[in-house]
Amino acid sequence: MEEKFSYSKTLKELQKILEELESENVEIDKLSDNVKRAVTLIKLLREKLKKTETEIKEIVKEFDEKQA
Amino acid sequence: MKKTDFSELGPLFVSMDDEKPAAALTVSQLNSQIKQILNSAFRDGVWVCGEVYRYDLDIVKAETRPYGQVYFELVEQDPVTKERKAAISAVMWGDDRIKIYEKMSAAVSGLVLKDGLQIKAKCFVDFYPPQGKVQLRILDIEPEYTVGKMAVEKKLLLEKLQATGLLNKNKQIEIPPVPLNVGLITSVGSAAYNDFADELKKSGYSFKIYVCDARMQGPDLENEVRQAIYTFDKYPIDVIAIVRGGGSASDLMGFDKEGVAVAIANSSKPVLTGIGHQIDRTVADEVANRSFKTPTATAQFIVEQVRIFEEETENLFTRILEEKDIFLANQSERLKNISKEVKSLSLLFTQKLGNNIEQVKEKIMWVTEKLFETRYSRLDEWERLANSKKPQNILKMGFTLLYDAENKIVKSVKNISVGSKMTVELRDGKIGGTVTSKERN
Repeated sequence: MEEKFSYSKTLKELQKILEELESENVEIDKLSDNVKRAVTLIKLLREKLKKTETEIKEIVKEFDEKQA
Repeated sequence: MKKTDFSELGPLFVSMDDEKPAAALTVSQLNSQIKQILNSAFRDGVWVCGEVYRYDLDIVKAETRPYGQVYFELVEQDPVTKERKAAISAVMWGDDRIKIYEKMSAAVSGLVLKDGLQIKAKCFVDFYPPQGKVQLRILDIEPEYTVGKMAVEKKLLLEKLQATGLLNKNKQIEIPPVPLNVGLITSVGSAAYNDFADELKKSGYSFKIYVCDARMQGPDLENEVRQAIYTFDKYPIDVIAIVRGGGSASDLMGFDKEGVAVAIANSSKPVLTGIGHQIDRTVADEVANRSFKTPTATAQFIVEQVRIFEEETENLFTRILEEKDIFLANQSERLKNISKEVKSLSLLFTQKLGNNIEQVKEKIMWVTEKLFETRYSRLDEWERLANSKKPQNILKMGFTLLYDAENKIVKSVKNISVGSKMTVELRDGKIGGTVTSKERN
């Protein structure tokens, strides 16, 4: 699952939900579920970002060490 | 001696026309009369110019004779063909000879009577009856004439040599740098010979001396020296030296001879002379490659050539060694500089490269950071947005949700009618009820 996680796909899904949430005819019934899903997705995206950032920092650090 | 009266001699002259039988004289009567005629004819003596001939051979006997007399000849040659034109016997008495010698050496130190010498002599013309021979008795000579003759001859010869290009011919031959093979022309066993050979030996260099014995004075000098030079031309000789000890000016006459001069000029080897004279230079000296005053000086010059060569070779070798060191030092300095330059350049290059990498790295970091920052903040915003949409949050603010009988959210008054059941959801619970009225805004 983790392997297949796609930032852009997830982002698209989130944006769709957010658009729905902001539209006038939001389904109140689905509202809760949608908000829940959105928050989950945000959490996932944030994790992914965090992970990527760490990875990049790691790579740069490695490069620095090699230079020295 | 009785004075001769020619008139008394009259009848003795026989006329060929005379019919009378001639009166005859004995040989001694004739010779006696010839003597009287000659004596009276040259009563006051006569000056005669001629070349001294066969003097050298006889002078050695002079001392053994009662009057110290020397017998020789005065001759005259054709100046061009050298053919003898005339000759006459001559005698010089011991007393006259002493007087003449004094006069000659007073004129030019060392000048003595010698074969080949041109003299102007005051003579008494005598006749010697026992042999029927006319003989000059030399009474006096004029040394200035001899000196002048010698000088003129020498001058003419020098001019001729100059004109024919022979005067400087031998001088143009370069003396080999290491003249170790020396052709020596001298009288073997003489002081000159020993001086010369000793000087070469003393030097310590391995000279090889080829010797050609030749008379260094007298009439044979010209031919022997010439032959010696020709002989040496065939040998592997570097330089020819003609040396002799000091001698009188007339002793040197042979070295003023054309034969010697031409042989020296035409020699294929450089010819050095060390003829040992102080006053004058001989023609041989003039024609030679170089001339020196003594045999020793001649030998010293040859030794000096070898020494100079040795020294120059030493110096050259030293210089080569020095040059080699300088060259190596220069090259190693150059290499050092080059390697220094390479080092600093590559250091500069890597530094620059490092700087570039640093910049790139910083850019990456900066971009990445910005990228993440944007993403994070957007996510934060979205989260806030999502949260704001949470129904619970809406209820917290005092809003309520209205559901119809089918539990559907009612958003408009159109969707519910008066009298139908409804449920109202509040923050902390639900309330049931019935629609009693409706009114549109």
